[in-house]
Amino acid sequence: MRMVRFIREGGKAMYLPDFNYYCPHSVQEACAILADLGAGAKVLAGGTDLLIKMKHELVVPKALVSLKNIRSLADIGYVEGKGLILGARCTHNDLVNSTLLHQRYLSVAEAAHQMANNQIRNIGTVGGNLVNAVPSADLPPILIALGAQVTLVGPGGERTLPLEQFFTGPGQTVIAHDEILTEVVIPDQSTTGSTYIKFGLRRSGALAVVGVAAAVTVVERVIREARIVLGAVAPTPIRAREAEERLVGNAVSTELLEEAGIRAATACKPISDIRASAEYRRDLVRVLTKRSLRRAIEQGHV
Amino acid sequence: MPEKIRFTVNGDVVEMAVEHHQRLLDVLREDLALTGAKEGCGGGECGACTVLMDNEPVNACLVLAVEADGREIITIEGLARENCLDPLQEAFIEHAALQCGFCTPGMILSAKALLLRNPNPTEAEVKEALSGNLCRCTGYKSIVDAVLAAAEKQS
Amino acid sequence: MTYQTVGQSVARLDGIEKVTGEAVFVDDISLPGMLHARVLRSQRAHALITGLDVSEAMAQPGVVAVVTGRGLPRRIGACIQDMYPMAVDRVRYVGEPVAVVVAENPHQAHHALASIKVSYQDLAVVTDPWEASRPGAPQIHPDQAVYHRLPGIHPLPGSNIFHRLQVCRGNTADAFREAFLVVENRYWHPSIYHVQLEPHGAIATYHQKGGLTMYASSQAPYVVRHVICELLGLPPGRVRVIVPYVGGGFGGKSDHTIEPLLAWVARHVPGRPVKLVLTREEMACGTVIGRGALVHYRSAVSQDGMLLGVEAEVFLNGGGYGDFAVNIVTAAGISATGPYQVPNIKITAHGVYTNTPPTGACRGYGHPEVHWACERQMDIIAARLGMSPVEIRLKNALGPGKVNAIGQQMESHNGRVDLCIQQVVDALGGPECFLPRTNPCVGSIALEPGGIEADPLPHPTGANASPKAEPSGACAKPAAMPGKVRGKGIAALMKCPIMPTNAQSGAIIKLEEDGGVMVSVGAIEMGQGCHTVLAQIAAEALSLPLERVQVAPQVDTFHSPYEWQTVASHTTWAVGNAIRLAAAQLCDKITRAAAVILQVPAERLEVVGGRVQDRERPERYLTLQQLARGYTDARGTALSAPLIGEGNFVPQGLSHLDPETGQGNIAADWTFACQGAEVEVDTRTGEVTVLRLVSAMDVGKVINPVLAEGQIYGAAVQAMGAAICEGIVFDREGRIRNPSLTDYKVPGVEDMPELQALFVETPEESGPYGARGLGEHGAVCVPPAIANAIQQATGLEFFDLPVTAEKIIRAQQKRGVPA
Repeated sequence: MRMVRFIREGGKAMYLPDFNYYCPHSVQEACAILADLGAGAKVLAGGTDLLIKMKHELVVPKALVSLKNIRSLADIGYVEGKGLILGARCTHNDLVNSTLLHQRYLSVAEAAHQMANNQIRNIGTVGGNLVNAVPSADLPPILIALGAQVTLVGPGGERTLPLEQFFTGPGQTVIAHDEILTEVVIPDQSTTGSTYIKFGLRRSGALAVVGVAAAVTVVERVIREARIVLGAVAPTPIRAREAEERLVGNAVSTELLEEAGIRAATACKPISDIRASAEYRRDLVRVLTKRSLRRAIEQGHV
Repeated sequence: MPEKIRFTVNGDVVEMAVEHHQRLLDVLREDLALTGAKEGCGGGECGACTVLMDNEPVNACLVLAVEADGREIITIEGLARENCLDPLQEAFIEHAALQCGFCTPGMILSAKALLLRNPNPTEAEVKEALSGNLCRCTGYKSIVDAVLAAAEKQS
Repeated sequence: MTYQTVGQSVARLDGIEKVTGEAVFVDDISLPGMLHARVLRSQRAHALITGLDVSEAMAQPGVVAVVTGRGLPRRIGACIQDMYPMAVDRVRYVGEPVAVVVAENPHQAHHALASIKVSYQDLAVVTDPWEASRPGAPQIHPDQAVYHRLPGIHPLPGSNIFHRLQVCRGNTADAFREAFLVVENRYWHPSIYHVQLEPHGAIATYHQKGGLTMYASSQAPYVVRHVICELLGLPPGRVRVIVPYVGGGFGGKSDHTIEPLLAWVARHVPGRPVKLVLTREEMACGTVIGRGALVHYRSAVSQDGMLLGVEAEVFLNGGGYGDFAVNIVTAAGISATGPYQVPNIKITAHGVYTNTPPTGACRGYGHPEVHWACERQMDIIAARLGMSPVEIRLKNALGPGKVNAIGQQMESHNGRVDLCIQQVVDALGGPECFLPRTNPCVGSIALEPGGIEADPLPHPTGANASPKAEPSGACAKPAAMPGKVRGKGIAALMKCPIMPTNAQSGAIIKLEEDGGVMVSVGAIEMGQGCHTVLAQIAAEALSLPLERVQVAPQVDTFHSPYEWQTVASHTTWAVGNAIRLAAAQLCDKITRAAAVILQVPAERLEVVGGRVQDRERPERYLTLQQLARGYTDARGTALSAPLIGEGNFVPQGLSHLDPETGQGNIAADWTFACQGAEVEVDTRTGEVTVLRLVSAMDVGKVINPVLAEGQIYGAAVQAMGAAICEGIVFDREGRIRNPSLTDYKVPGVEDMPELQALFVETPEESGPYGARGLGEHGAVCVPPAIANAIQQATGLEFFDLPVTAEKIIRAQQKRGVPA
């Protein structure tokens, strides 16, 4: 059967729904535009997640507000008394190659290194990775384990909160539609080691089936402090507090780490999906918690 | 509403109007007729659309054309200079590091960015640099061999 | 025999075009006035279409036409005419085309899809081929009895079985009664994607005078033309199919896929080209998928390890339409006993309709499915008998004088599986490396100083280097890292091309005015390097340097010679033979022309090095250049005409198989090979690292060693994906859960093991310069080799692919090994 209408209009291939585009030069200007446009406007940082969502029409923004021209957001620096500051527009490869991170928190650079693939790491940003709030994201666990804070700037001013309190569900955070995540701060700390271990279904370019980050303070083989953060096993990254409690005040031993692993596995609430069953994820949490603790204890911030 | 952008493509300064929703890949392939970058998945998984942006490999399917404003783009068409193949292109031919050829432009550009940054990479570094480029034909062996050979020849 | 060009690793003819981006693929082509098509696909796996309203879509901006299946004149198919190019009144899988929007740009076409209203009446869904073969299963083609089909296809009317092949030899009842050991298992090879990097695409223009021109990313332009001619009632001379470079085929672009659909669509907008390029996600359901087979395998064995009998039942998933899967069923049936002589055989292979996308050719089709069963089974039998997996294979191997499943006696030129097995075994460290080990999971986990258990860390990334395989062929040592175990395994194979008994291949060689030649063939260059290899054959046959030989890169049914299709690893063999025939004819024409000019009897002349010369007085010669456009004497009189040679080849002596016993010969040649793997398994996470894949193949004379190695490496890594990570997952409603490359992971460069390809070169009597095909073979028995290695490493037996990390942990827990 055929129904034909004759139209002759030029036009080339388009793959994304249409939208307006703004590229302000300051955070304040960006927030003002976002406030003005309302919920239909989205912040465009790297775009590696957003463009895919737009292509599949999971998100149909009326406008994109690009952070491209806000150069101050792309810095990595250290401020005495405040900590190490990661600008939200830093790409993952900026973290991978950062001398400051290599000196202080190689674990963060390594976590960034395990993300996606080289091309995506050149475009995707720290802020984007956090605001997207994908449960399997690789940066949140290690940053939470290191007690990172995030700064959100809106038309009404700026607020700072622990990254741990930032996520509220898959794809959901506390950020308001007219706020911009501007920086992540890793505060100065006494931790002696931290690491992130990811288990994916391929060596690179695979999402985490499970990701486990650990940060510890160990003095004379006694664990003084421990933070364990699990990714991809709950709607948001979660702390394994029962496991942490079991560790603190105790001397390092295989049994202790094993027990922490079991407690972490019991505490998590994974789902079964195409990549793994809930049971297997729990097994991996147990194994990887132990491995990440061991590595953080033995090897420092790696 | 078309947006005017100005960027460098294979050494030429290009000023043009693009639609907001056009991806860098669309502009290169359709407006500039540079069809060497291929669309294999449209989702940043396969790397067939890889081009260099300020000498770093990116997926042209995940970059809006407007975001390329002010940047320097190199596509596979810009690699050979004055009819002289890049050493990587020569090495790919010499080592039979291509079969169907669909992944080849992206693969070569990822390797190019590596050699610009690191002229003497290890095998592991070569693999890491190519890990965002899928090839379903070669099993990768000849590709890794070719990149290592090109590095050696250059140094 | 020494050759000038054959046997040399010459560079690919298409190298420069492909490294510069100049090579043109379908999606790179843009034609004036070109329209774009997007397909509305069924979201139901099995349903009657009760309503279809496209009027709102027609009103969308940019929309030029909306095409549905209403009015389609007839069913199409090359083997069984069981499908329409798009749904007419019923859908049989999720993804089946229901309507197509044609618009000025793809965006407009895409957006109009949402305005099409379809209503369905759901029917019961079945996606498993075994379940679908049972009585009482939902009937997917209730009227299959009336379908037109080729001879040699045996459906079971009233069931979902569209083809059943039986292979019977001897008496299995006696064999099983007398056996010392009977081993029985069920094996499952799931459906997989081909993941050609280039998505399927085509551009079609329906001409207002009647007729159609199509650019297609296809391995089979002549099949496409035939099907379109039948569908639209056009003569072959009015349908032109042009194939530019193809970005990977692996069988998935053979036969016909999106082309008849696009031809039907183009029919509705005469005079304007219409382009359809599938998205990656559409590739999952919009073309064909591969494999998908349950194999129930039963072996009878004597005490000394001789195979006495095999009874096997194969249930191959045909998907919603069976046309493409008929030959897969046949291949599975005749190959189910692998590279072994088995005196008593009863094999039944069923092709079964289900509610998945149709199954089509996929690298080695039929063979990987049954070798997964056969080659796992051999290791299990060996272990039960306390015998080495190497020894049991050598004992039963086919070889000269032995008889295979379809009653063909092997000749000395058919090749040597025993030598292939020995080469792989030697490369991996000797036969003792393959002996079973007991309980290796426990005991290899060491304690580190400091009292923390030395649990392995997951694979390091980046600069920390990926784990490197041991370069030596040393025997399996304890794993390099505590908590990890290593194992080695082998598997052997027999592969034959399954083709029509008269599969045709042609070649035309035109003598060019510079004394070089232009070779035209119908074979498609899709990456395998066939045009380079065919140029080498032409150069050898004409005694020309390779640089004087060109192969026309685009195949065009208006002037390329006939070719069945570029599949079945038959191009080097069949088209190579056609080229030799064409070269012989051209040489004959050259010498006959030169005889007149030189006044020397033609039989005294020879064509060598770009000249035709008198054997007895070589100073009397003409260059080929002088003859190319017709030789003229001093007065300007032409003494000869331009010269073109043509050659046409069909395989000799093939016939349909006996419908009762499956005996006969439908395979033009047989190829034997062996593949071996070394793996490392993380006993805590189950992660498998394939360290090495070694393949040894008796492919006859190797025309181009580097290209041949490339075929084997590529096939082996593809099959490694099927072994450990690939597999399409359907939910109960028949929807695919992993259509994207995010969720369907194919091996990347960092997953690549150390690869090795070895050749045994027993010259093939029927092949050009003794060559056989080899494109698919490297994909056939990698999964069982890997699973056998995993078995040796962990003691765990796997019957279902892929062997994922999670399955390993589950199996360990089931066995009571603490993870």
